[in-house]
Amino acid sequence: MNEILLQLGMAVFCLAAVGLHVVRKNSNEVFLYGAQSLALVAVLVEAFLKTNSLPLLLIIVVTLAVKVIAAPLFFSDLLKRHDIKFEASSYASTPVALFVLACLLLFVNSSIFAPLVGLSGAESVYVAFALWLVFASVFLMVNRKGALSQAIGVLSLENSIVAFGIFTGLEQSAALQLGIMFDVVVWLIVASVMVSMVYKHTGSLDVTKMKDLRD
Amino acid sequence: MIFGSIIFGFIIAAAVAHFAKHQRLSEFMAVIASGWSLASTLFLALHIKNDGPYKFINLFTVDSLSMLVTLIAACVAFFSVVYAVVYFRKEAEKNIIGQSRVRQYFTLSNLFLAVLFLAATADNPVLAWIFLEATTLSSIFLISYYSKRSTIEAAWKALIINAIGLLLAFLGTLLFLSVSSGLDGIMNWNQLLANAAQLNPVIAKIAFAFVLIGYGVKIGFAPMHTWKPDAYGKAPAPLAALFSGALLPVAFALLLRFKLVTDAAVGSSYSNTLFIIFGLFSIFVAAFCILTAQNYKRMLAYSSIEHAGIMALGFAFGGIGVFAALLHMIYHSLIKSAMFFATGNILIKYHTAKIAKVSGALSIIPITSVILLVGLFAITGFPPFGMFLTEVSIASAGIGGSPVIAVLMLILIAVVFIGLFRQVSAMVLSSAKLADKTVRPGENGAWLLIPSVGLLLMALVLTFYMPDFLHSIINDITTRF
Repeated sequence: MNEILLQLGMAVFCLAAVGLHVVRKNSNEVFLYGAQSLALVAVLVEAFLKTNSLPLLLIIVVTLAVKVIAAPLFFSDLLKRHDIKFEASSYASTPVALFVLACLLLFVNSSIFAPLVGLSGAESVYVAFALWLVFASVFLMVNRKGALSQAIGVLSLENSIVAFGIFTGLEQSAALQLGIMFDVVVWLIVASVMVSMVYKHTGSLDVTKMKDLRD
Repeated sequence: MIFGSIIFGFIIAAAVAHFAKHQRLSEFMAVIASGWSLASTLFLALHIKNDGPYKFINLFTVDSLSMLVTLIAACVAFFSVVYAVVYFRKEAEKNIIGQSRVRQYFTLSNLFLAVLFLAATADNPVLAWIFLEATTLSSIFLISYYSKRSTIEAAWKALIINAIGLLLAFLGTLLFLSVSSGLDGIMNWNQLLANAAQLNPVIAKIAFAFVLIGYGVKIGFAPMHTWKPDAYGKAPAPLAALFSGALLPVAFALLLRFKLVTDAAVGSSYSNTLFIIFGLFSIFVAAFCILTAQNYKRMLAYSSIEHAGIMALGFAFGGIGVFAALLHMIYHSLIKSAMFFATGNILIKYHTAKIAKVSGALSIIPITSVILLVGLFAITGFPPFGMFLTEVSIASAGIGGSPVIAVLMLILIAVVFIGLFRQVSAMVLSSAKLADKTVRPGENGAWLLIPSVGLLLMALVLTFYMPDFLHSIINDITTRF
């Protein structure tokens, strides 16, 4: 049961990561981020079933509330308010983006990262995928032109690092995890306000239109 | 208790600025909080030699390294707050900002200082990361303070680049903590260092690379520096001084703690090589950007990037280089903050940050111009200022093991001097252009000059006289590298 939950969670996590590179609608990006966060919750639940740790249960509840419910609602509200639909454009075309993702998968499975992947003997496949998710999220932020996509990329990167921490057994104490979660919440609020301000001042979320800083 | 009172002071000052309707009360509380932080850190610094590291609720420790950077931060913070009080009054007089904006500045800047002090002294690497991330979050709306299109862009850029960098630093931190498996509780810096030998060398190397990239964003190492010129260029002058004078040393101190752990795990050559690569590249990028800079605040941001590079080289060269790099950190924070205050005065007078649009400053704002010129010579390492000694010491530390790097560093420092002198002299020593003849001559007020003069004097005094307690703190840090 636990293994199935874990496999299902990771499958959704990875598919959502690929999806974030493929979709063009901002609303779909928000949905995929919600799905990815839900997959992270599934991974956390699997860890909870193993350990029965009450602090971990608290983390699951907070993750569910913040990442699965609050964050997508925040962004959806933003999209509705400004009626932004088709701005999740990217520098690389979809086939190129998919090719880069495949290369990244090869890269994390190369000998360079063998010690990292081997940090957790039994779950090395999951560790490799979590590491791939980290690089895929960084690529998402680099490749996307939309401010909202970049914000989602940051949150996706945070999800990936949390997953990496769980699989490698490096997750921190509950107090520290709550501190990190607090940072995520504040970051989310700051990013949402900033996205609104970007839209208000530039009339778009396309960061390539930000040219006022050039000397 | 004394450390708690510093943090409490900043939080109270932030709360007063947010809730009180009176601007004067916000200003008064901010000055009191920063003054108290300076007095308290001085008190701690005087006692740390005899009493040993100071602990606060088992989560925060003030050891030599955190003492040095909190002392620098407190000093810059105090002068920055004093300057900010008068600076924002001037801006309010000119209807650039309203009273609520001033209160917003003091709310966020006090929160920024509180979390900065917590980051510097956090006993645990993850806790330090949480508070350093919080410095970004508390300062973003200060970068976009003037709510213009360009300031929003600068803030967005800073938000995203810092978020990516700090998340990578978090990944690196987690990897360092892989040594903690099997240990109970939260691992502190000392435990991490004590267990460093158990780290898998490859993991230690990958972890340090992530941490260097992550905290390198905050420090401003090239090529992760790109948010800095924009943020410094658009932020109000007192905040730019805080970024350069207070945030940079704290982020550097955190990176140095990871360097110690990495050195214990894989030897010092790996981290030193990375410090040399990033350090030299930072000086190179900064030197050529300063030559072509068109905005004087951005120019000073590039100068900060250059000095971060020089410090990195000092730590990489080791020996006397470490001592010199720590002194360099002190001098840089004091002098650069003074220069940012001077640019604030120019901005108030000329209403532009473009170098080409400022001329004849020596005849219009003579004292500010002299401050900028003295700052220019001080920051580029002219005697009698201490940076001359620190740069020569860093170069001499490197000349034995890495002569090419040391010589390249000196050449690039010369290029920086040429660039800075060219830009500053174009503003200060030129005769006033027709457009600038409409600018009314005269300084903006004594209190906009006193913080700069105070910081420059402090830098000069510290060149010739180093108090025993400070000498002992720097010596203690040096012996650890």
